Amino acid sequence: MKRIVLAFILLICACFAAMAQKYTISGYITDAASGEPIIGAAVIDSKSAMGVVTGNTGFYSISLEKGEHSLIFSYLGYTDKAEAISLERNVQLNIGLELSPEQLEGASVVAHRSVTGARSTRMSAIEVPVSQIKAIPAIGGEVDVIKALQLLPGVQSGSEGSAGLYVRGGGADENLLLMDGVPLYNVNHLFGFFSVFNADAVKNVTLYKGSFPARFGSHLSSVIDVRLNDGNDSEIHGNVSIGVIASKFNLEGPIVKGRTTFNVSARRTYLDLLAKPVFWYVNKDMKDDSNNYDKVMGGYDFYDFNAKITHKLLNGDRLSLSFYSGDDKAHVSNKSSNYYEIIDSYYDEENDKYIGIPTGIWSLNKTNMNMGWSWGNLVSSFKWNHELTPKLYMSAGASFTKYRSSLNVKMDEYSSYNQNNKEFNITKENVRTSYNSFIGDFALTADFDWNPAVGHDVKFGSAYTYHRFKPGIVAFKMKYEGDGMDEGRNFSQSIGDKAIGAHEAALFAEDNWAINPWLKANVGLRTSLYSLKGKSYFSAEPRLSARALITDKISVKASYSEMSQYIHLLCNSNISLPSDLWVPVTKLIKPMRSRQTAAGVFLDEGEFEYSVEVYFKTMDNLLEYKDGASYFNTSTGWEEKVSLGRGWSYGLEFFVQKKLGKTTGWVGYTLAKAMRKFDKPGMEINNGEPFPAKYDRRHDLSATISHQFSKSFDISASFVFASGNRGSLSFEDYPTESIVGSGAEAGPSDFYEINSYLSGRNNYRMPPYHRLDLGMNFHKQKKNGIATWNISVYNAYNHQNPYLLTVDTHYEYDKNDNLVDTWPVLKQVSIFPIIPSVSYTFKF
Amino acid sequence: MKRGLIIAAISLVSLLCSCTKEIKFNGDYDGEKLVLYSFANPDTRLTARVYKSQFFLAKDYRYDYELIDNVELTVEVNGDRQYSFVREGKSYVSEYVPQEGDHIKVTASHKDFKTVYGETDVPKRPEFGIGSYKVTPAPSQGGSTRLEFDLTIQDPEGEENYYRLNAWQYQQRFEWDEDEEAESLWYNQNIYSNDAIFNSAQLGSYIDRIDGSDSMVPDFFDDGAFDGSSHCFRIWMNLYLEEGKSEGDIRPEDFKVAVDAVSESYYRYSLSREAAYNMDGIAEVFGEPVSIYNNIVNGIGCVGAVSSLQLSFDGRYQ
Repeated sequence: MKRIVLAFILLICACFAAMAQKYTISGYITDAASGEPIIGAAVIDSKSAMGVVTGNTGFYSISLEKGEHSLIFSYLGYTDKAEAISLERNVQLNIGLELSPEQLEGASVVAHRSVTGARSTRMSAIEVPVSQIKAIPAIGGEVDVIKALQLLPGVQSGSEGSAGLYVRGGGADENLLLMDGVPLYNVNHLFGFFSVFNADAVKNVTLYKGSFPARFGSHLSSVIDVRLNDGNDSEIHGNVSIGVIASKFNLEGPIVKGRTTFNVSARRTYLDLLAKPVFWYVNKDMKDDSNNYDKVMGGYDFYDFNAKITHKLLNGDRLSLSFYSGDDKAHVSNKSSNYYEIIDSYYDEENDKYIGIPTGIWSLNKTNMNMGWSWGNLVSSFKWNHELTPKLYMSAGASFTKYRSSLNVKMDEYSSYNQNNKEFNITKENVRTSYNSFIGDFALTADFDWNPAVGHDVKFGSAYTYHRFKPGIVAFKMKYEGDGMDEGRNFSQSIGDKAIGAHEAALFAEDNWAINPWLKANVGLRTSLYSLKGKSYFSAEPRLSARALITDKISVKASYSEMSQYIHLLCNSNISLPSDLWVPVTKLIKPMRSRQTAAGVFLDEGEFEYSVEVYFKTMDNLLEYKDGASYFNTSTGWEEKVSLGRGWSYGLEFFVQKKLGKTTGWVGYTLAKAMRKFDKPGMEINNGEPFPAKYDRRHDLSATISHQFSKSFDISASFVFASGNRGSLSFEDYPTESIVGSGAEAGPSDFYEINSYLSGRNNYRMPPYHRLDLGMNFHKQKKNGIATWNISVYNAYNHQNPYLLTVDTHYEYDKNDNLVDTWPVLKQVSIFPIIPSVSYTFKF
Repeated sequence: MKRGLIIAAISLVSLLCSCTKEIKFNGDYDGEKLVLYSFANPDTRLTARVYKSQFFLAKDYRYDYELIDNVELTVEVNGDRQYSFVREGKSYVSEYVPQEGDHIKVTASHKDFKTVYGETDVPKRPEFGIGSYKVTPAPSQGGSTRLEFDLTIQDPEGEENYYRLNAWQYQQRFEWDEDEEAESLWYNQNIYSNDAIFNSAQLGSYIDRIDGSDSMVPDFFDDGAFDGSSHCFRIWMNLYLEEGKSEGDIRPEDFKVAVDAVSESYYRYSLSREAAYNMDGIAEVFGEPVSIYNNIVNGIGCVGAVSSLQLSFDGRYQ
């Protein structure tokens, strides 16, 4: 630790020593048509071969020697722009890049690696343009950011349809998902079938699987940095889309031309509206005015709403305010009434039958049950970008994010007897149960980009976050009234873990250092302090990566990263639910920690980019529920239900992509292994022996391709093949006994129970998963915009992919339909067959 | 038109509904195994039972299990003495009577299976005493009369120890048939405590009659909170009052408490078995899978030990 800090101080001194007579060129690179800042655009000095890339606001700053220079500004999909500069003083130079002719014709731009190409020090990272995300066929035509990332090497999806990400053997909670720099704790709609990201609002998505920039921390396995559009600064544009499952709109434009822009988008599903006629049909014969009915209603819907305003001040400062709100709601209700006459019966021995005698007393039972489940996120952030000096750029901000889940059950019961129109023995019971969990953050950040000298691109900054957790509160209220009681009986109780507050502070610094024309290094350090309930944890996380150019197009890279994580997501191994709990570290539960080493070879060959990477990762203080534990049991706190252990994973990733032309796409293949071991005394899982992680998939192949036939027609396809997920399956059954009695009378019981013998956790691999999705777009130019019909097919050859396994009974019949034999069989349950969909989009 | 709409609706619903299909099992399964149980008790001859497991997808799957015949069983004591077992009724029985502190290894062989064995240590009998006790009448708003008492356990130093708690009340058995004469038996009682060494307020969840008509067992705890020292905790049990009797009729000699020192293997086996028992219904969907503890090499089951001490409320040890 001391050596790392010392090395860093020496590096900072080297930066100062290198500052001779240099001047700085700085400014913003934007899309010339819309004014949208371009993230990751390259600025290269052809004289010195030095270069930088733009940050999240499109800002760049490069220090060069006094004299004549030729700067080339480039970003994939745009025409390069060259500027000749005679550098005698600091220069402010803003550049607008024009879309390239191929891009104007609609050719797609695929996963773009200017951030990580062969020349960059960064590895294990991929930038995915939104245009490619939109080209990938999706369930119900709903393009999805997270589903697109699942097609990249090193990234596993969870169960069928799930939006979970399992990156290089890590868990679903080890991914830092950022929306304009603010963390989101649950990005799942409809139990993971869709994510919260509305692709129409998204500008840029970058996935980091390793070699993490020092400004990122707090999660072990990946960072998904999603940036939202600022809005067109000269014209109003938008699009409206109507699909099978949801509709959405996006509107962007200037409030003050060239100064203030807005971007608003919204999406809502209408599964609840589609379900209404089904429930109407089921209940159509049930009348409320009768005393005998049983009506069921239900529904589900979700929505997303994004809004962003960006303002450029006269001095060049930029202010932005963004807001996101999204919610899921599922509800089921049942109203029933049962009215019948009480019949006394006696046994007639002579006729060997029971005789019923009406009593004239009628019983009425009415029940009204409502269950509602809602979960959602609320995010808001304010950012201020300010150029302190031509070499020093600041981005400061405040943000708030919260995720909450709430399950409410109401039951009202009324019962009475009626005789001769006189009601008696009336009882009423009202029960209210609710389960609530919540996590929220308030954060302040200040990030700086500093260009102190040629060949040094320094980023440093600080962050403070206040976390608030409510990891599961159950409230129960009951009111009971009945005839003969002087007053009703009331009962009310709340149980579960109390709310916890925690403080987190972090400092980071990194230098992207061009040591010489062929060797470049990124040296960084992140330190963080986490404090709650009188307990503090400190961590220092070194981040190192280096790139050696073999030729202009081939490079070799290596990286080492350490990450710490102070929160855990407790989720059941069988299924993932919105009520999965985010819990903080405590005195007993320490922070998770990962160490990852990676190396690779990268080749940029014209239209193609190739890479081969290997990685090895270890993770400590991982959490898993103990055997038999469930978060629905609130008789013990969550800390007593979990075990602490460790994991390790390693793999080989192969990636090739075609970036340009009418046909674009990529192929990714991963060969990987992920293991876990929980052997701390008293916390053993699997008897302390190593076991495979749930999403330990040995092989994972993904390919996506799109081809533009003309301006009015294009097609796309994606194919996935992966080894099956792991699950715990008992292969044999056996009797279990116990000792009864005590002392001299103690002995084995005469009775046994039949139990299943589980040889190990996650001991069984499900059948392989494979799927082909197809899509085609028909575009037509209209007077005021472009209309597009999209037809897509999810799971085009209707392969039944396993979602879960179950043991069922096979019934064997003879030709006369007589049952002759039965035996148990293993069955898989699949949920998504072939699903065609169609959507209409109008873009203006 | 209407028919077309109905057909389209049915097609859409059937497309979106889940599908199941039978698949071939491709797990790493090496065949049926011997299932061995042997629980040593210092007061009695050592017994053992041997069954065989069955493949969960066996075409001739059966729902009952019988003891296997022709099993060669031996027990090795402290590495030097060996005893064999003979079949007697529902168990295999040996001449060996376990002593406190013995280390035993039970081995079972059968020509159709791999030889299996399990080992355990026979724990020393626990030291405990019953302190003051009282009868608390039932509250007016509802509830049971209860017997509350203090229990003090002295834990040996230097080792991990595991215990089981049991309590009984001598009661007249309820008979449905009025012509049958009701007899009295010792009935297991549910026992309760708020002491931190237990996981929950109710310790014994199941009725376990001393005549063995139920297979579940009362609660277990370890010495983690009081290793090497003595620990006193308050216990209570809800009392059964026979018809026409009141709290004043309760006699101390109608109650007894037993503390068993159990082997670690039996402790882990019992807790995991109870966790598996609780996996029904919603717990099976939302709970983590339970692996029942197994200390049989090449097989399944448990070789464990229990050393008991019973104490009556009138001060007599049994």
